[in-house]
This record gives sequence, structure tokens and C-alpha cells, in this order.
Amino acid sequence: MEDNDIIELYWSRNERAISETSVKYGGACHGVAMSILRNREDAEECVNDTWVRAWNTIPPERPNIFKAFLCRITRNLSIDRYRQNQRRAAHVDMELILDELAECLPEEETTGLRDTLNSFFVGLDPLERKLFLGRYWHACPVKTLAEMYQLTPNNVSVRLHRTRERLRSYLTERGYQL
Amino acid sequence: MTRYNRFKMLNSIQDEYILESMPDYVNLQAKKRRENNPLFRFFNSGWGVACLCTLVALGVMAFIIRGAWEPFEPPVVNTLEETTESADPTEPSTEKEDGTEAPTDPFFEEETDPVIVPPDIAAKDYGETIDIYQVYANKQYVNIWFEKEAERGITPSIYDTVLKTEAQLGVDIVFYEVNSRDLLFTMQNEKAGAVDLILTGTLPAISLMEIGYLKPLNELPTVNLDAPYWDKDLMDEMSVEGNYYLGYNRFILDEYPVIGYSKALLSELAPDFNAYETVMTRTWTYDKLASLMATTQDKENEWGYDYVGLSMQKNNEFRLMLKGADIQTVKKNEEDKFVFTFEDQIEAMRKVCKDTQAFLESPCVSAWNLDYNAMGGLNDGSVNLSRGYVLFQTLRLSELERGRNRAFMLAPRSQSPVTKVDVGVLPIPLYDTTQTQYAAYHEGVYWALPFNVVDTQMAGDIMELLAYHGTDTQHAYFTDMLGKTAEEAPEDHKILQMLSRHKSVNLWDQYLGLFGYVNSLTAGEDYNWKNPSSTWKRSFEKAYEKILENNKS
Repeated sequence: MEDNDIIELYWSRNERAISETSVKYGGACHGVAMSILRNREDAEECVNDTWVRAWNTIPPERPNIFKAFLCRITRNLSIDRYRQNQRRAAHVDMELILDELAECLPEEETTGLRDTLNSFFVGLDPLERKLFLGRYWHACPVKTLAEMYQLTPNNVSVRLHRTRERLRSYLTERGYQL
Repeated sequence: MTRYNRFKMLNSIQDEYILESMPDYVNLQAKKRRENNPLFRFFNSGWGVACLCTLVALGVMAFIIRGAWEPFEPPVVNTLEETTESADPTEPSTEKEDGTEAPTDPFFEEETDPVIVPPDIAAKDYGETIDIYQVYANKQYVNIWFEKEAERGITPSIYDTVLKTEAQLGVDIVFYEVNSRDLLFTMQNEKAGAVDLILTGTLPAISLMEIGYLKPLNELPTVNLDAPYWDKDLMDEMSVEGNYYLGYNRFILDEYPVIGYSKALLSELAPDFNAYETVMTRTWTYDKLASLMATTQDKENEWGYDYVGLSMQKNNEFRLMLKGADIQTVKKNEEDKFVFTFEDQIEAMRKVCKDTQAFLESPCVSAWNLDYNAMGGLNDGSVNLSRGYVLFQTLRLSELERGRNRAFMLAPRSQSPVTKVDVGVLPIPLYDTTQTQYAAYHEGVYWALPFNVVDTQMAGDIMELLAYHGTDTQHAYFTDMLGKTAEEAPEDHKILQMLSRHKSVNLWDQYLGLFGYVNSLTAGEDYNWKNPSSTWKRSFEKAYEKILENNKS
């Protein structure tokens, strides 16, 4: 079923919307949750919560790109779950991701940061962007990124390091405190 | 809490980028399952390989023994008809549709890569910062390669080329993007050596030559212009009195107009059309383009959007045929001197105008205004290939690359059920059958050397090493051009290689204003054509005289 049709189901409050969403985007959302949580049960719960959140948000929302909309919800729910679970279920890779982000992003989100970040990514080389967001948006392990883009893990790490440096100086030049 | 906030901050990234970077979770999981499969693990291990080798060896032995038993049978000779049918369709045929033999032409011959010998430049430690000024006439032509923030190459291969050169010579290379005025100001007011090297388009280059601000590259001791990583033929077209003020080598990326096409749409609308064969048999003409465009007429996609035969940026309509018709304002004569030739081409120009007008009357053409948004990206007003219902689009090479890389030609979901458009490449069509080459005029930048360069040895070393290491850059540029490897799109790759080998240059056209003038032709509804020849001739003669005067050796 096409995205627009699924969204129409949400708007007409037809519960089939959830099953159609689950069939079409269950895999992608589960992937996002698993990358962050590395725990199947927790991931499944987050994915289920995603459908509920989508149900409560549409209407009034009418997402442009449905897949990105859902993944964004899953990502938010997963990071909240990760924080709650941290004592018992923290994993090294996620901790590393959070530490690395601390190098290049400010503590608090201030006005204009959203546009600044987007303008940074517009100007970034596509491969670097995919690697950066693959790592810090989708929480992919470096090894997986290396396989996806046919690079060595070391090369991926170096590229990520360079992009973090660039982002850091980009934000600093624009007056953000890091 | 702050750590998690940072993670959440990235949620505001544009949807397109989230999709673009999204891993293929389904395939990744399948791969993981496959890797966990004991059979897969066995065959992937040393034992598995050993078993396979043994099986292959046994098979070969069995084949040899069987061959010794059976008597040799001569192969059946095919009839001519059968041979023709079994020919590889991807190989260019020299036979035309009417059965006559098409003239063979070195333009279409495949060349093997030349052997590249490293330049004889020992490792050094100059300990200098090298300032390379990029001066552009039109920023769009050069912004593909360098990223403003980092002042480094945008592609890993360019980045590596610069790093290798820096490491071998102990220098730090910094690129600056400037306009002509800033470059002139720096050269005039800063101490000698403030500008070490220049990358320039043709328009600023002529202005710099006019005032004698460039030094010939052939005076650099370590530059070997005969090495295969320099394009001497292209440089010959721009040389003045045997001096090469402008250089082109493999560090520079090609930039010429091409036609991109949607592979899926073309195979749907014209399943018998073989793009590669058509190009290589020199039958890729405007008639062919028009007939293919016509296949889109009165057709629409599943979501009710009309198919578009050819999409092009508005005001570029006249340029398309102009390129193909090989109309240039100035050419070189047999004595290697520039001569104003446009006077002889006025009739041809009139014909181009007329033909273009007729071509544009096709309902299958869509011309749109180029509209950049505040962040430098293209607004969605353009009717481009990414929409999924556009068959052909005129593009510059870098647009093809950027288009592929930026969003994998992601189609807007509101207009098309297609999510990703696979784009192929074709040259600008031949204007007529007498034309021997497809037009591929480089519209990018060239190397130049400031007149007050301090250390010619160092400048030569840098230019030569960037050229030599740039071989990898060329490879990466062409193999990645279509967002695929050369192995996956070999025919596109061959077409690009062919165009690259035979690219040419319009040194004077931009300076004299041919392109601006041609753009303005669209302003009049009836495309009235006034002859600007005498004005251009005066400008050319004045500038050329100055160049000769100010560059006397």
C-alpha cells in the first residue's frame, strides 16, 4: 500500500493503518531501535510504541515522508528507553556515539541550530554525510558502515573524525558554545 | 541528560538525508543470517576453500580424460547471417541502418590507458604553505570539488591527491575561492608569492593574460607537459605563441554538457533503442532525440503527471544546438594564431536559431527557471530526472554527479510512485551527419601560474605531483560518476571516457559574450536574431593584441 493511502487510513481512524504501517515499515523501525538498544524485546516495545505515537499524531499531522517520520519517532523512543535502561543495558558502542557527539554538538538546542545543522549537511560531501548520519542518526556500528560503503573500518573512523571536526568548527564559527 | 539531548538534536535533519543514510536493514539481517549459517561458514573457511579446489581439480581432470577419449570435431562454421545475429550487441557496429559502412573514426576507437611513470621528483621538505587561488567566472562550474569550510577536496580521491602531494613535498596546500577582483588585488598589493598557483575559468584567464599577469607553465623546470596526466592537445588549443599559460591535467575534473536519461523510462517507451550502440555508430542526432522525445507524448504516470520528453534549464535552449553545431567565435589557424571566425558562421548560426525554434515547438520539451534556495540547493521547481516522468534532461557533468550523490535522484513522493531514478548518460547529439565528433567543451577551470611566482621549482613540483596523483581522482570521478562502479554501468563509463578523451575548449566564447548573447535570444518571442559579429571582432582583436604585447618573451 502506498504511503498516502496509509496516511488516509490514519485520518479516517481506521485501525488497519497500524497493521499496514507495521507490514511496510516494521523492519526499518525495528532496525533503528535495535541499533540503539541492542535488545530485541526493548526494540519491539519501542516499535509498538511508535505505531501508537503515530496513531496519536496523525491527524493533525500529515507527514511528507512517512518512513522518515516513523523512524524519527522510533529513534526518540529508543534513546529514551536506552537512558532508562542505562544501568543494566548500556552498550559500549552507543556510549561511544554519545561521547563522540559531545565533541561536535552544543549542550543545549538554541534558536537557529536546526537550520545551521541542515545547512552544514547540505554542503557536506554525500558520502561523508551518509557516514555521519549512518553513525550518529541511525547508530550503526562502524563495521556495518564499512561494509555498506565498501571502506575499511579504519577509513570510516577517520572520515567520521574529520566530519566531527568540521562540524565543530562550523558551529564554533557561528557562535555556538561547545 | 545532555548527552541524550545531543543525540536528539540530530532529529531535525531533513527527511531526505535520513532516508539517504538509512542502512538496508532487511539485507543486513539477511546477511547476518547467512553468515551464521554453518554451511556458509564452512565454505568461507580454509577447509571450504580446500574442498572447492579439490572438486574443481577433479572436474578438470575428468574433462581432460574425456577429451582424450573422444575424437576432435571441427567447429561448425556459421553462415554470415548467423554470425551477424550472434554478434555482441554492445559492440559498436560500423554498419549504418541503410547497410552502408559508416566511416571509422579515431574518435570512437577505444584507447588503452597509457603507462604512467611517476615524475622524477624526490621527497622534499619545503616547509611552505601553498596558497592556491580558485578564481571563477561562474561558481557553479567549480564548486563541485572543494568544500568551503574545509578548503579541501570534496571527494576522498582529491583529498588524498592533495595529501600525497603535501606529504612528498613537505608543504601545506590551502585553497581559496575568490573572484577576479580579489585575485588581482592580492597579486598587485601583496608581496610576490602571495598567490602560489591559480585555478581559473577562461574568462578571468584572458583578462589575466591581457595584463601579462601569467607566466607560461612550460617555463617550470619540473613540469613535463608530455606526460600522459597532462592534456597537451587541450592546452594546444589555448596556447599563445607556443606558450602554455593555461594547463589542464588530471587533477582537474571534466565539466561539459551531456544529456542524462531515465533508464527505466527509456526502456519502457523505446525498448529497442540501444543508447551505447547509437552513440558509437554516430547516429545519435537531433532527429533521433526528437523521435524518442515523441514517445512521451500524451502519456502520463500512474499519478497523473504528464511525461516530459526533454527537460532543460530555461535560457539554455539555444546553447544545446550551438554546442553540437561547433559554432565558435574564435579558432586557431594553421599558423597557430587565434583568428576571429564567427563571420563565416553567421549563416550556420541563423540555421541553428531556426532549427532550435522548430525543436522547441515540440510539446514534449519543458524549460524551467533555475532557482537556487538560500542554502545553495536547487528548489524543487526544476522539472528534473528525479521526478521519474522525465525522459531526457540536459545537464553538466557535475550536475549528473551531484544529482546522483545528493539524493540518489529521489523522486518526490507526491508526484511519482518511483522512488529512485537510474540515470544514464548520452552526449549532446550530433547537429548533422557531417560532424565528426560529439561536442564536449570543457567549461571548468585550468591551471595558471602567477607572473611573480617566487620559487618556480616548488611550483612545478606541486603542479606535476597534483597532476600525477590526480590519475586516481580521474578514476574515482568517472567510476563514481553515475553513482555506480564502472563494472555496473560499463557503457555509460565508455561514453564518458570517449567524451573525456576528445574534449575541447571554447577559450574566447565566454569572454566575447557568445553564451550570454545566446541566452538572450530566448527573450524575444519570435527569436529575432541580430548579428553581433562586428562588436565581438573588435573586442577580440583588442584583447589579443594586448595579450601578444604584454607577453613578449
